[in-house]
Amino acid sequence: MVDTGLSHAVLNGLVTGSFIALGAIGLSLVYTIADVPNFAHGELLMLGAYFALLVNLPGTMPVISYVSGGDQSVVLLGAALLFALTVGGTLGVIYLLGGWQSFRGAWWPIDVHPWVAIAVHVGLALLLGVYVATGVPGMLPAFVLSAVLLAAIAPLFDKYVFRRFREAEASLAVMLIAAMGLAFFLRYTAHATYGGSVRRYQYPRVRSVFGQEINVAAAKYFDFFVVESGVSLRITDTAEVIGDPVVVVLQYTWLTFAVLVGATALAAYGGYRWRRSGLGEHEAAQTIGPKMVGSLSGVLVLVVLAVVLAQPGGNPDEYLYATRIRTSVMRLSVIALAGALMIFLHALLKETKLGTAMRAASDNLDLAKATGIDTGRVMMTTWIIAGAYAAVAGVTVGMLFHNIVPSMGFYQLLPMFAAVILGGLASVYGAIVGAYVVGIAMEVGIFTFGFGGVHRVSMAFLVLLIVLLVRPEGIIGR
Amino acid sequence: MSASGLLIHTATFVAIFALLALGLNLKFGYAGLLDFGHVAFFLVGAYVTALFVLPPPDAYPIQTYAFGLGLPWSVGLLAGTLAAGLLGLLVALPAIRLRADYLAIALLGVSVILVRIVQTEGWIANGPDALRGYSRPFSGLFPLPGESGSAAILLGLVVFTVWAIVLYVAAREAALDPPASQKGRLVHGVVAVTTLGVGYLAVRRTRTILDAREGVGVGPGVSPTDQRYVIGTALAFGLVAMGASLVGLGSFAIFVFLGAVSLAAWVVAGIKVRAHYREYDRRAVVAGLVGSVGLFVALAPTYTLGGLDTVVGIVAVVATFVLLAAYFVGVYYAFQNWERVPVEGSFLAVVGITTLWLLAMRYFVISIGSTSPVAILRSTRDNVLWLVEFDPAVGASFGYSRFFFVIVVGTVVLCYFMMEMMANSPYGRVLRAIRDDEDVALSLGKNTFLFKVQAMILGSAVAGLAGAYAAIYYRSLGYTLFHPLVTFFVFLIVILGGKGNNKGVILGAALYWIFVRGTVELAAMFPGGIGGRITILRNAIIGLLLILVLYYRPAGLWKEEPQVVEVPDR
Amino acid sequence: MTSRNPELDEGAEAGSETATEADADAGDDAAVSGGSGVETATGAGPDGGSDRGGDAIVEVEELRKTFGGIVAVDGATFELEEAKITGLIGPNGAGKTTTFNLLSGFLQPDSGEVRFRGRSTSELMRPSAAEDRVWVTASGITFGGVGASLAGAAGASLALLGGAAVVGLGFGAGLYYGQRGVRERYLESRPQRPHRLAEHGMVRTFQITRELQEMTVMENLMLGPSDQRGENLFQTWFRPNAVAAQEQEIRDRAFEVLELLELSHLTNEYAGNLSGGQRKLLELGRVLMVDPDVILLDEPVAGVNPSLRENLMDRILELRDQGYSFCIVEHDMDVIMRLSDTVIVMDQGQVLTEGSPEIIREDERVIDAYLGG
Repeated sequence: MVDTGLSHAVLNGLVTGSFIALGAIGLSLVYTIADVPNFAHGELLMLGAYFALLVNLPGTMPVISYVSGGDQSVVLLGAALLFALTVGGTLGVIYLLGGWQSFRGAWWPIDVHPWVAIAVHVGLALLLGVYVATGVPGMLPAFVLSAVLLAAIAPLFDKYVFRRFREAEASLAVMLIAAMGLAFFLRYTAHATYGGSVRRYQYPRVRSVFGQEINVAAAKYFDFFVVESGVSLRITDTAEVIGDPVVVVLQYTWLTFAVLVGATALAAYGGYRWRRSGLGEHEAAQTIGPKMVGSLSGVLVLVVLAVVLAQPGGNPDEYLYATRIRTSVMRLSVIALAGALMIFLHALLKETKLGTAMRAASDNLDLAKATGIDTGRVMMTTWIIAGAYAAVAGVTVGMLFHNIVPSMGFYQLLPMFAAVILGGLASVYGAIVGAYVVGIAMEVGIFTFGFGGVHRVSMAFLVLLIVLLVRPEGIIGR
Repeated sequence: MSASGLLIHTATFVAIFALLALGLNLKFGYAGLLDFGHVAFFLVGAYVTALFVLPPPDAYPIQTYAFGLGLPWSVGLLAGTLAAGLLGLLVALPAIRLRADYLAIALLGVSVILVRIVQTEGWIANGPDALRGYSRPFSGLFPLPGESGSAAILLGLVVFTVWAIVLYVAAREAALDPPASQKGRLVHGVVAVTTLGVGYLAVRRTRTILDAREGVGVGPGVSPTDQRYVIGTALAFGLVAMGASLVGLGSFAIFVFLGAVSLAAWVVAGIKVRAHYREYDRRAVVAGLVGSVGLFVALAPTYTLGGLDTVVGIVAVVATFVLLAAYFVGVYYAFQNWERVPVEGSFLAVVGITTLWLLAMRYFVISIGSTSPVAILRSTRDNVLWLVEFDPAVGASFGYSRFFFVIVVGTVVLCYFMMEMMANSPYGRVLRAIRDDEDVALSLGKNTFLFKVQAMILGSAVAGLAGAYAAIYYRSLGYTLFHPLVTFFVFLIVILGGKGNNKGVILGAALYWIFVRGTVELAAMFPGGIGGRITILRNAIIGLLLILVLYYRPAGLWKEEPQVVEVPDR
Repeated sequence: MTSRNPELDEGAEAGSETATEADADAGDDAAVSGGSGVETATGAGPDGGSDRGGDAIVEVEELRKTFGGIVAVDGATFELEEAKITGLIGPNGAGKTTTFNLLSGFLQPDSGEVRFRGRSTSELMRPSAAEDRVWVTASGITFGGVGASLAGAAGASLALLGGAAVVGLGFGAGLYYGQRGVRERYLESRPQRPHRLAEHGMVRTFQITRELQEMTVMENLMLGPSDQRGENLFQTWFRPNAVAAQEQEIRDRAFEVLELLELSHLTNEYAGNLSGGQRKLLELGRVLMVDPDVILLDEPVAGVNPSLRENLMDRILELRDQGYSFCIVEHDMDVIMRLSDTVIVMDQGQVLTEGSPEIIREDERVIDAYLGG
């Protein structure tokens, strides 16, 4: 039996950091562009988690339960309802991007015939609608419905609440309290609608991945051993109750291990240098910058070499040091999902005109307005992204912790805020870095001090308080 | 619970939350410090007080807690206050320099962490279960009148406190009516009768002071009432009551002194209300009456039949919803077309009058619940003489809940006066300058850091005192009572009442608890499922209210009053 | 307006007024730092200011300040003379406002220093040794308490308990010095005690008027005086009569200032409701209530209508004659030329030239700087 240790806590921190980052992205965008310290952002996560239940467990939700057949299926009318919700949400999002004009493609970077744009928009809406309506009770359609609905709802907060305060030149304090009022409203309306009982998603634990049946929720053990002759890795699947749970044991001699580490470092550095050379001052303007190239090449080399250099081996009986990472496919896919969404956002910010406008608006809204940027559209886009990402984060939290309650938003809000402040409010990237710092700090903190999970949030705050003590402006700072 | 018992119960909550809100008002209303973790100090005050008065843990094996000192309550209250103030200092030293939003989130973090600690660390205060087992102060002596000397002293103290407060307000409010006018004479007469004669003298003395002060700038100080005179009379009454209690006439003394003061309180409340709505004509009063009766009519079906588990019951509930919808549509219509409604004054004022009618009818009429003349008379007597309880065996008596109410209200009044003196002093001026623009205060040589830290300490200490009283009142402390969101109820109280206005803050606390009480009673009229949702939706409405008040009336119902100086002729 | 407190001017701080024209050349430092060896000018009240002057009351030496790579002030060196008006002009971006912020302690210079009456302002603004001791004690006791209670919770013996307390004490004290060192050496932060300069007699105004909108004109003025009794809560609560008496004094003085500035009719008006020019006057009045020696005015007449502007300029000249020293940043050349005794021209963070208004008016370099900028 091998105990989990620091490495386990760090990996857990990465998972935690991932969903914090998804929330913090929206929070930070809204903070810098719309100037709203959105205390209601946690409630967006909560709403996202509940909306996913409409697809996953329609039989337990109000209204839609009348048109459901059992907990996890819907009759035709129920499917029609989901279809209408999705189509309405999608079209609503497009409408919010700039009124009826945006259906004609006004927000597209290229000029097309209005009817083409309309056809694409309506087609997309119908496609998503059909996907969600026929996808009950799958989790992916649930993600889609939740993201679409929140993308349509979040901008309304700005339209009906925050914009009015902004136009009245309300102080930061007033904004904060108004946001808190909104949070109260959302949380308790949801509470009254859905009730206070704990809900959880129901989804099949065994999935077919690349043709193999894998239990995504069951824990996998990754045990690292340091033995006299080198390093070895043992992977165990706890889902395999019958037979040998050990999937594979990989052995590396000290030499191959050194090669592995060295080649990885070299590839990372080389990639960085290669991309860096000749860029001069314009590093930040690159979509795929040197840092990204460096880390990608490093990871690639690591994975390839780890497979190539591995030698099969038996269970090590004597070892100098051993540590275990306990994780599951689902937890790892959270990191992947967050990474994919971050790359999407990165491309959006760096490659599109809208993204450029958003970055300009976050630097200086008045200046952006003066240079002819449609700040209204930028604002709406910001909220749409914030809503959709928060929805994904909310469903993720719901899947990881099996604990969907109306109060979940408030406690998720705190680490997200900590992440944004750690990032110094300067940019989304700061918030992402902050989120991983906070996530790792939370997990490593409770591991080091031996606290229970209740103190996760406290740890996030402890980090924040210490940083604020030394540097009142946040790490990266304005 | 009888109507007056309910009044006392709710008013005690109002008083505790008024204290809590006064503390937040000092931080947020005056110094502009956005303390999103105010409840942390409330929590510390409550738990520290409880631990100081609890017996040592080994004497209480059914629960665990860090220590129990078994000290008297006075020490406990002081310790709770000081501990909260100390925590305020410790939190303020590093955090006070942060910009508004960082400060808010940092302080919120402190409150979250504290609650979590209390929840998980069972050895400190029996978390996650409730901490209980402390006896309430002096509870053995009640109900008064008692035979011992201590009971007599307590009765004297109560009589003194209540009379001092009521006389003070009476003297001030009544004196604002010139004695020459007919209305003035009437008011003075009524005050004189209900205050056993002394009110008349007090009013006259205050009037003299007011006349003498005419044209002179108002310095720091609270109000131009002759304080010695009021205190002297109250002291005399207290001593008489004490003496009466000692010779076995306690019941009689309670009936005379506390009964009279109950009446006087109604009179003073009436004068205040009349003064507040001075500009409004009879039509506004009638409109308020119509509005309140309309609401009762809308609620009547479910109130009378809603409990039935039959078709009739369901129809009644549905009918109520229809009527309520119609009522609020009507109200909204009136609001939209206010200039065409033949009523003087603002919509808000009529809403205020409606609320007063509602409260009055709920208290005096709905509470009777019987049609026999004797029951009506008895109920009315209980309601009017609200400070006195009538026990068939003893006659007039004075129970613990009323005693505690008097103590808390006395503390609120004391705290209010100190806050007012602070607000009108150069200290308050610097705080308001910091709230407006800290750089200006700095450029004028004010050590703003020091002022802000002081405000933090003081505001937190007041919250700690509120927590100490809450510990007595709740009788058992659980971490859920100090949920971080409680801070925002207090924020609503401060913002609704009017930040930077101590009177407004007390008004806000009263309105908040009236609202809470109202939703509880509303929920009770409906079947369980709907009723439960109504109480949850209450918090949603509170959130909505926060936004609406901030947008439409950012200064609150009772605006901060400017300090006006008489300009001398030169 | 004769409410200047003569004691303050003749006090130990006011050594500068003792110097004569001749001494100014001999060395400002000696003359300013306590007036050693120089005769005290007999009876030279503040009103006699017109016949003295010429001494440097504020010296600026090699001041440098950069913001993220952009040099705002680059080695500026100049002096403000006592009982004179020094004008500070320059094209946009010349670093005037930054210089102002450095002078008044609202920003910390990267290098160089400002000396007020011979003492470095950074020294004046540094926490006193007593203040440091309070902080060290506070953090020491906190951590000592935490250490002791942790040890107590863990069930340590009495000796260990004491040890934990001592270790915590040391840790707390060390932490205080540590964070101060980190803050001073590695972090760029705003000085925390600019108010100390005001206490020593140098007060500034702001470019965009920053009146306290939610306070009345009277309250704005009454805020000014330093060391008011009622700023102490103990005095407020337990000695209300003494506080009231002092309030009455301050109020009387505020009325005098209001009359001087012709704002009496606005006494009870909220400052937020004043016009731009009235706000400028109010700001000046507020500074006068502090009764400083040096007044730093940032664009005092910007946005003020012409008649009020004349009024304001007359007031400033009158005050100069009473012995106040001024430093004025202003865009309007006519105003600067009329008010100033000396004009300092800044360009690109450096002092381009200085001299009397007549000389500056003719200076080619100044004209170039303005046209080029």
